[in-house]
This record gives sequence, structure tokens and C-alpha cells, in this order.
Amino acid sequence: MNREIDLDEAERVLEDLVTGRTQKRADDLLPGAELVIDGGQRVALARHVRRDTDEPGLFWIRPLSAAFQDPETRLPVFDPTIIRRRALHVAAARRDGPRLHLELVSGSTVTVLPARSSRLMALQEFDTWMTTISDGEREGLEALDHD
Amino acid sequence: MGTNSKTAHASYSITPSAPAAEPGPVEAAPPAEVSATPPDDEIAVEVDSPKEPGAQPLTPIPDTPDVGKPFGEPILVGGADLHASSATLVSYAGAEGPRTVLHALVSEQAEDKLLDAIHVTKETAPVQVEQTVHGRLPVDEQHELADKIIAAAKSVNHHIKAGDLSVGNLPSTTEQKINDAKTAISAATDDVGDSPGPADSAMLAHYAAKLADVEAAAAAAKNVGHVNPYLHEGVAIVTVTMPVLASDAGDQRVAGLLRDATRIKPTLDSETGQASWNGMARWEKVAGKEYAINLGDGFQAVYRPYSVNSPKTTEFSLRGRLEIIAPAGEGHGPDVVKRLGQLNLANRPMTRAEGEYGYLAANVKAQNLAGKTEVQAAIATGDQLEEMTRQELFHERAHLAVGLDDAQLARFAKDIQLDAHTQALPTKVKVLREAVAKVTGHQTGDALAATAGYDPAPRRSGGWLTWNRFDVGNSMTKLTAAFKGKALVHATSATGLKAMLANGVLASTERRTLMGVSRGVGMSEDQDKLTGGASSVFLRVLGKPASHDGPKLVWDQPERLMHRADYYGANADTYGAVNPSKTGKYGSSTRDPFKIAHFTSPANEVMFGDGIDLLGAEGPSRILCDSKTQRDEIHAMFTAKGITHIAGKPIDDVLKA
Repeated sequence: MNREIDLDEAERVLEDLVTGRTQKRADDLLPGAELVIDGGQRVALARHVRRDTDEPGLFWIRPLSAAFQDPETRLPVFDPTIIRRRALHVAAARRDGPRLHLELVSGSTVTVLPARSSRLMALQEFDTWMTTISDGEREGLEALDHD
Repeated sequence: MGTNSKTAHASYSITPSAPAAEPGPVEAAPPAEVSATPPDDEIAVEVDSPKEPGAQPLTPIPDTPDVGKPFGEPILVGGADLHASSATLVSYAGAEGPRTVLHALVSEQAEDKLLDAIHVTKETAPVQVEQTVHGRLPVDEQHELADKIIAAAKSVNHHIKAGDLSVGNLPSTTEQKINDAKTAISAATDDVGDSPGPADSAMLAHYAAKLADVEAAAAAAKNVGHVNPYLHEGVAIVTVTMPVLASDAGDQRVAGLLRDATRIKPTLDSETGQASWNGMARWEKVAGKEYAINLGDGFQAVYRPYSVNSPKTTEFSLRGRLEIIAPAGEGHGPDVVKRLGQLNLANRPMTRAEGEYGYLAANVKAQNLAGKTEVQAAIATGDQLEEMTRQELFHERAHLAVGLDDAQLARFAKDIQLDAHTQALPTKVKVLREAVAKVTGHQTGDALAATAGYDPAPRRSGGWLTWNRFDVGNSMTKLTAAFKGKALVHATSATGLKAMLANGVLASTERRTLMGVSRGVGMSEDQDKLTGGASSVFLRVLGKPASHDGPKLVWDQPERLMHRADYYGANADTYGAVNPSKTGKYGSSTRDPFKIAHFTSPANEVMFGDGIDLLGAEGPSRILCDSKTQRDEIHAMFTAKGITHIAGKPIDDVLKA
């Protein structure tokens, strides 16, 4: 299955990917998604996405960097400023099996696909951190409307 | 080990700064006085004769920077050993008195001479220090109580989002994780016995309550609220090792020990905005290596070399970072600058002539003039002039080199290099000013310097300095028209807004790390690009937001920030790496303020170096609060600090909800 899809379907596929909704894993790691831009480095994506209310082609996402270990709690922590929301301003979308290919208006090419190896581990750490922060902070991050 | 010649220069007494006032052009210090005391032979701070106006210092060096001011005081240091010739002095509050730290980024070209100053040793002397520590209790760590309850909570939240957890239908993996957590609590309870201490008892009660929350959420198919680990406060004896030189008394180098990289770990009071540091606490397990350097007399330095830290595998922004740490106490501002000399780095304040060269260089970059033939020729001519001066000085002083040992020869050569730089500078400035004038449509350098926008004085913004763009200064009316109906906006959270205003700055990740707000940068070069850069903050060009649409910082007159020389923008999220072959109308980045004024994408970004001073001349036109309650809270915070106006506007008109 490799076909052009419209933005509504792209939104659904992207949501399914980042939440790990349609992925089954044999191991104990909670599934999710990773992102590749122009064939560069792969990075994990936080489990939330939001379509812009003013610009229907624009999707807000949150790429993840590696976690720090808090020396007091020995648990992973993230800096919300470092893992700030980013934008995918989509010109065209295509579905290819479990992958979502996006052509951005900037000319860049983006692929979102099921997370593997270190990106999957980063997601587990992000889940841990999201569980330890306050409900208000978590809801703020999931809303994807803060810079 | 001073960096200047001792023979031809008067010593310079460093002038304390006035208390922090409304940011604006940095005033030059009063003319230098001749010190009554002879200069310290090792680390004298000197400038060339202060008779020439161009040789006067551009930024004063405070005796003790404002204690606890998290972003510190910016200073300019002569020469090009430090990135942008700048450093930041921070005085962290501490129980033993203020602790002044110089933070700087060493330029990669200056690293060789810095490393020449270090005698790498494995000899260390242990120092034992009593410290208050926070942490999890041993029983908790042994049985992984927090980890197992968090794993169960994560599983509940994930399966709710994935849609396969509902009332009466608990996935087996979630059930297993809840059971694992129960088993761990039970084992920990058995371990502590029938009469646990108060800390263990409180810890077990804390986790039992958290696990009950998880079970209740799983049964009701609702998200689990936050699960925080139980932290205990206690006192521990910490052993710190300092590198020492074993017996080589004739070695003028300083002892340095290569170790795993760390980052300074200050704490920031979210209410008062005061930064504190005990001189010891550091984030560990930072990806990279660093030298811990013993400078003597209680002074230390920490340096992360470019040469041993790959940008691909270590923290990109850590490379070249230098700290010079004074012992606790007042009056160490000038001392930490002097101590740069022990690392073979220039250790005198920047002169006005150097400042104008920096100003012109910043304008060349900002106005995209580096490719112009005239500018390239002027820079090459300047370099040749400096080289010729260096050769002349070498011939004049060659007889003084006879009989010098290796270390003295290295200092002799360094002095000549710095003197050549200083002597050639006025001509270099003139040549570059003429070229910049020509390519920007001015008859002569003097004609350019006479325009209203030409202002070669750095401006203080938070703990850093910025230069102005003269092209913007000379076309402000046009730029105001171009930005009509638009604003620069930073959308933030309610907690983020309060924290920023308590600190008074919108600061980059790197700056926030020094302040104690951020836990570090933690990114390779590729990640740094992807996340948008640790050394900048960003705003977006948007239509003017309504006053109830907070929390946001809004600049209704964007031209107030666009005079800065250190920004660039893109009409899209470029992820720092746009494929040049695909760059379209959205993708390419620009430093042109008129192009930035016409950005249309909601995801456009304008990046400013280091950050923005929110309470000074660059402060926002409007601060849109999350609620009326928050507006009142921030109003009270400002009033308590004596802040009545921001950028000339009463706070009643700035704070909106």
C-alpha cells in the first residue's frame, strides 16, 4: 500500500503512529513513532500531535532529545525548552505500509515510522518523565500550544 | 603569566560597575588610573596607554557582580581568545558568601595555547566537604519502588491512549506491572521490619498511596496523575579531588586533571529568582571530557576541550566552555578575569577600538556583506597589517629573547602577538569602516560614522551584550511601516511565564543552564540543529494577538528588537537543516528584517542569540497572562521588586489578562 492521502487521513495516521495505536510489539516496550527529515538523524516523537486551527496543513509535533538522569531521583528528566514543539507544514502526504511520508512546503521530506532501538528507549524514558510531572504541566505539553 | 608586554604599558586599575540600571548602551569606564601597587607579575591586568580614547575599556568589570542575579554581568575581554570576546560573570549566592564564576566560550583557535598552560597530572589531593543531599532511600532504590509504580502508571496511560483499556478490561501487561509493584512494596515492607524508622515509614506510605492511585485509575479507565518519587534530605561527607603538581617547582603551568564532563548545578528560587551555588554541586554523567584545573589560592577552572570532545558524540554546546571559579567571598570579579592569564588567554578588558571592530564585524554578518569584494579586501588588508606589525615588533625585541626558557619564550611570543593586535587595530578599524561604508552606499567611513544609526557601543541585554545594526537604525520609519499590524510573539505556559518574569529574561538553553533553570543541553550537533539551537531563543511574527489570548509575550513594535545584529529568521520550521536544492520561499533563512516582516507561516521563527531582557529596554509591549489571578500575582511580584515600568510603559498597561 503506497498511495497519496489527504490531510485528514494524514492526521489520523500520524496520531496512530505517535500513540503506537496500531503497532503490536512482542517485547515489553510501549510502541510509538520516530521521525526522519531529509534522510538525517532519526529522533523519537512524543505521543501527541495537533493540527493547527488556522492553517489546516500544519501539524504540531514534539521531537525528543535524549533524557538526563536526575541525580536525586535517578529518573530520566527532559527540559521542555529543548524538546519544544515543532511544526510540519505539509504540502502532500503519502502512506506506505506503516510509514507516513510528508512533503513539507519548505521543500523538506519527512518520514514518520514506528520507533526502533534508541528512539524506542527514549520514548520509554519520556513516558516515565511524563508520569512524574504535574498534571498541569503534562496537559500543557500535550496541548502543543506553548513554545 | 600575563598576556601583555610588561615593558611598554601602564597597568590598568579595573573600575567597579555602577549598580544595574535600565539597560542601554554600555557606558565606558572612566579613564584608567595608574595603579599605585606594582602589577602582579603572574597575572597582571594591563592595557596599553590609556591616553588614546580607543584604548579605553568598553565594559567595566564589577568587583562583585550582583549576588544571586542568575544571568550575571556581561563583560568584553580584549583579543579574540573568547567567542565574541565576551564572558559572563555570575555571583551565585551561598552560605559562605557569594561565589563568583566567569563563564566563557573559548574560541577553537585559542585552544592550543590554553592546553599549553596545563600540566596534565593524575596526582590529586582529596578534600572532604560536608554537603546536604537529597535522594531516594536505599530501600526504595534496592526494590525499585518508584520505577515499578511508574511503569504501572505508564502502562495504564498508554493503553488508555491506545484504546485497549476500558472498565473491566485491563491488558495483561498492565496487570502484571501493577502486581510487580505490589510485590516490590511488600518485599520492601518485609525488609524494613516491624519497627521502621520515620523516613522508611513515610516512604512506604507515600508509595502505597501512589500504587492505590494507579489501581483506582486502572479500574476506572482513567489517566493516572503524576507519580513523584519519595525524596529524603540528609547530610553526607563528599570527597572531592583537586589536581596538584607533585614536585616540579620550576613548572609555571597549572595542574589539570582530565575527567568525565560535568555541568555546574546552581539552584534557582522560582519565587525570588535568586541563583545559589555551593561551589561543589555539579550535574554528572554529561557526555564528554573536561579538565579540572587548580589555579591556586582557592581558584579553580574547568575546561572542555574541542580536541577531545567530538561534536557527533558529545554535548555539542559544551565544547570550548570554560569556567573560572573564585573562592567564596566578595570582590573576586576582577580576579577571575585576571586568572584567564594563567591559561594563556587574554585577560584585559576590551578597548573601544576593539569594540568598533566587533561592531563592524557583527554588521558585516547581519547585513550579509561578507561576500562583497571590498569587505573581503579590507579584512585581508587588516590581517596583513597586523602581521607586518607583528614582524616589526619581533625584530625590535628579538634581543630580549636571548636566554629565555621554553615557557618564557612562549610568553614572549604571545606578548608580541597581542601587542601587534592592539597596535594594528585602529588602522584595521578604519580600513574596514571605509569598505563597509562603500558597499552600503555611503561616501566615506566618516560619513557612515556620522549617520544616526551608527552606534558602535554594545548594549546590555540580560547577562549578555548585543550590537546594533546601523542599516536598521537608519531605516526605522520604513521598518515600522513594514511591520504594521504585526507583532513578535512567544507563546508560553502559565508556569513558564511566571518563571521567566521572576528571572527577568527569556533565555536560551545554554544561558538557562548557567542560571540553574535547565538541567543541561545534552545534545549532539545534529540534535542541536534539530531542536532549533541551544544558544538562541525564538519569537514568531504573527498578527497582533488579543489581550485575553495568553499566556504570551508580545512585542507590538517588533522594530524594537530588530535593531539587534544577532538574529535570523525563516518563514517555516526548518529544523536547522534545509536541503539547499529544495529550498523554496518558506525554507531559506534570512537576516533581512524587511523579509522577516513579511513572514506568513504560523510556524515561522525569528531566532535571537542568548536571549531577551524582559524587564529592560527590549522588554515586551504586552504580557498576556493566563488569567486575572495570574495578572495580579505578577503585578504583586513586580511591585515587590520595585518594577513600575517595562520599556518605558507602566506595568498596568503591559500586564493583560
